[in-house]
Amino acid sequence: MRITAFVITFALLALIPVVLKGIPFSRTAFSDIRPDVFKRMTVLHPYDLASVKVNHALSKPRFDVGVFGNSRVVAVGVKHLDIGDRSFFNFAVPGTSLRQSVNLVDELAAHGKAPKLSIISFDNLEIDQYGNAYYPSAFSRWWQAGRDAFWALVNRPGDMLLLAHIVLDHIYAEWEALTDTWNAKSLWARGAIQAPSLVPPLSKPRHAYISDGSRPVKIPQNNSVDRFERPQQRMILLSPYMARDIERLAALDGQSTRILIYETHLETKSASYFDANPSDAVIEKRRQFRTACERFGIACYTAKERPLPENGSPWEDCCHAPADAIGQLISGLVRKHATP
Amino acid sequence: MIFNDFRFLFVFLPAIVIACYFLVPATRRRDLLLAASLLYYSFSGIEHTIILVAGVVWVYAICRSDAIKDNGWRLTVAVIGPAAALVYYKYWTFILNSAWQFSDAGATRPFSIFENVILPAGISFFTFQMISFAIDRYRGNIREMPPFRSFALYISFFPQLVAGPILRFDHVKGAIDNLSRFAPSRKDFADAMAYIVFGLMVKVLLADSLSRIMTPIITDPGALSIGGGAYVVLGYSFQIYFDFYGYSLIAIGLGRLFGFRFPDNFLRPYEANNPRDFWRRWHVSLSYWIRDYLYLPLGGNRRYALNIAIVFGACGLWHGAGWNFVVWGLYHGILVAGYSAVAPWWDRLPTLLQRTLNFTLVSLGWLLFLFDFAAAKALFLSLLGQGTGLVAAPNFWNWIILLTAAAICFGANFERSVGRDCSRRGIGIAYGIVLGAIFFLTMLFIDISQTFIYFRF
Repeated sequence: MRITAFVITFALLALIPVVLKGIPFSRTAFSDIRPDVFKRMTVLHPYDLASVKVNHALSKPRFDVGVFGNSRVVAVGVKHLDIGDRSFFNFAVPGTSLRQSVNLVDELAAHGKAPKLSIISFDNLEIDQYGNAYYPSAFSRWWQAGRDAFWALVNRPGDMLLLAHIVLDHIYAEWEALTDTWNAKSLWARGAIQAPSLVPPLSKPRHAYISDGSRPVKIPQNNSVDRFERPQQRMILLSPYMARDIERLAALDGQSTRILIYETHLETKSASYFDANPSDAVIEKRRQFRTACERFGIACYTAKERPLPENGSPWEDCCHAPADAIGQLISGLVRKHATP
Repeated sequence: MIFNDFRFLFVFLPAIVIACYFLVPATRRRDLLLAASLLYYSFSGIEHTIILVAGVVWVYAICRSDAIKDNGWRLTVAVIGPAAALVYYKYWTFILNSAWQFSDAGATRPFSIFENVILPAGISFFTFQMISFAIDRYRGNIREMPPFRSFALYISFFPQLVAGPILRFDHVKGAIDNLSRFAPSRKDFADAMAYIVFGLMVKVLLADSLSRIMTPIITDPGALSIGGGAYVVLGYSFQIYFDFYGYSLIAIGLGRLFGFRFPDNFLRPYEANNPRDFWRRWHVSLSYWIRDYLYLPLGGNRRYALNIAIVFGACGLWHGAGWNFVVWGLYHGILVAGYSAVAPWWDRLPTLLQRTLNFTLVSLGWLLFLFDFAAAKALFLSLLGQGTGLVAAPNFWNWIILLTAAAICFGANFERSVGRDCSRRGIGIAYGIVLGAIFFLTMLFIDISQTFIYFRF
């Protein structure tokens, strides 16, 4: 075997997924899409889903209200809201953290398409799972990584552990992004959206996206949440990132969009469990969250400050509230903060 | 970290190869490979690495003196350390559970503390290598004690550490001694890559695909149709073969990168003409280990039936701590002994019929490997048409994958492909392009690839 031929063949083929990833989705992805293709979107990689949603926003007039977050808010659609005739789009990307929401607002703002009111749904601090963003492109993420490292050097000089943590965190995230690129399932899911007539869907998901960007979920009325009394292990957040991200949002607030952050809610049993078993780390995180919001002048609401309306709808699990209840909460925030 | 993992293929392995040939002085290569091997193993747990190192130190300390030659006590002490670890980690729960089941101890099980013991990856493999070394020292087959680091590398060398082949010291002594002088040629490198690519291909594209198809089917083996049952029997035969064969090919390729020439562990086993022939082709290093260190010391053919029962029972137990594995071993013992009894008749059958018969018997035996007794019985009944047929039968594409696996199993010869003469430029380039494309295709599916089945042995 000629090693050179082997290496060149592999390298050229390995470039194909990279190039495919760089081809933008149709700019009308959410507008005139077929219902069966909406279903296919549920298996898209977070990078691709974010990409579709951003492209959709770029092809439309600026939205009045946009919701950002992950699976905890993705089910909320127009039908759950009472916001008058304001236009709305759900930008949530399941499986992502606050960093992804910040990147999305940033990206939209750069194109003048950030919603007039951007509502950021932020994981409850008891179960917050903080990770780096998938979207936008690698170059933007590397630039962001450099700025994160620089920010740590300036704000926490001498804290080499933090710097190392940030650098390794980004390297790991980029490694994941690279390996996700060479992934048959991701490529197939992408093809099933790009060329739905040619590429059949790989699986039959239960849920589907709809044209307002949301992904409604049907929860049985008798869904039991008893098993979520001890929901998940607490996650210890790399706190400086939170302050850094709130600072980034603050830079956008009032410039191109109005920013609101709210902490997602926990089902009563889970919330009671955490209340009865307080954690110093979470108390400290909450203090830092509040400090950062006040310091940068962002409107932030913790779960306790802004309780979820009790309307009897069933929860999906400990940490995924019913969409109509979240809709009521968001509608209240819109009425309070949005300009008429 | 396992071989079918991006981190291994694109970080760990390139780093070790670059360090070995460009960064570290040639005289330090042995130390580098030893350190890399321990690092590799430490990913499966620090505690397990300590067990490995303790075993290495124990065996070396006792075997280093020439007094071990013909000294049964010393040999016993040398062997008892690693064997005790093997028994504790792999068999203790099984022994206690069996004792409890056969006694009238009541409903409460008194020994639950052993239930959370995690089996160190590959403990059966490296324990057998330690034992073979001790026995070879006892027999005088290894006259000169190697340096400690050479011995440690022999036991822990990462390509073969967790799933073989089970090497004798003389298999690798020359390569270890020659490490500082070894300079891989382009052909060495190309052959190594070819082995690795073929190994990954059969593991990721064939074994794992079959596994994904069968996982939902085998949850209720009693609900299969005849076709579904047949698919499981055939599918698992090819799955386990390509899973283990794939590992062995990768191990051989990795060894070549550093100048080690591991013996082939599979010699087209499903083309064996009879059960005895099968064991000369399947997991060859284990077969010969058992022959040399168990069967012959027991008296070999002198007490044929008894010794066959013992060695195959032990072979089954080596594979897993469960009665189904013991029965699987005994089943093969019966096949081998039965073949000996009917060999004059069997050998007169047409070759294709011999092979088909042997493959069928071997494949049915794998049911004991895959299932417990109740599930194996349920599947057997399904094969006889007694299944409820409620589980969806494999579809057209599932059968295509099975047929592809069969075609590659019986039609492809990877070892010959690796050794082929590529001095003609066109052939070498075409071969490189094909392997590059296969490697790329494999990478697309590697994130859903599963752990090698033999890791748990």
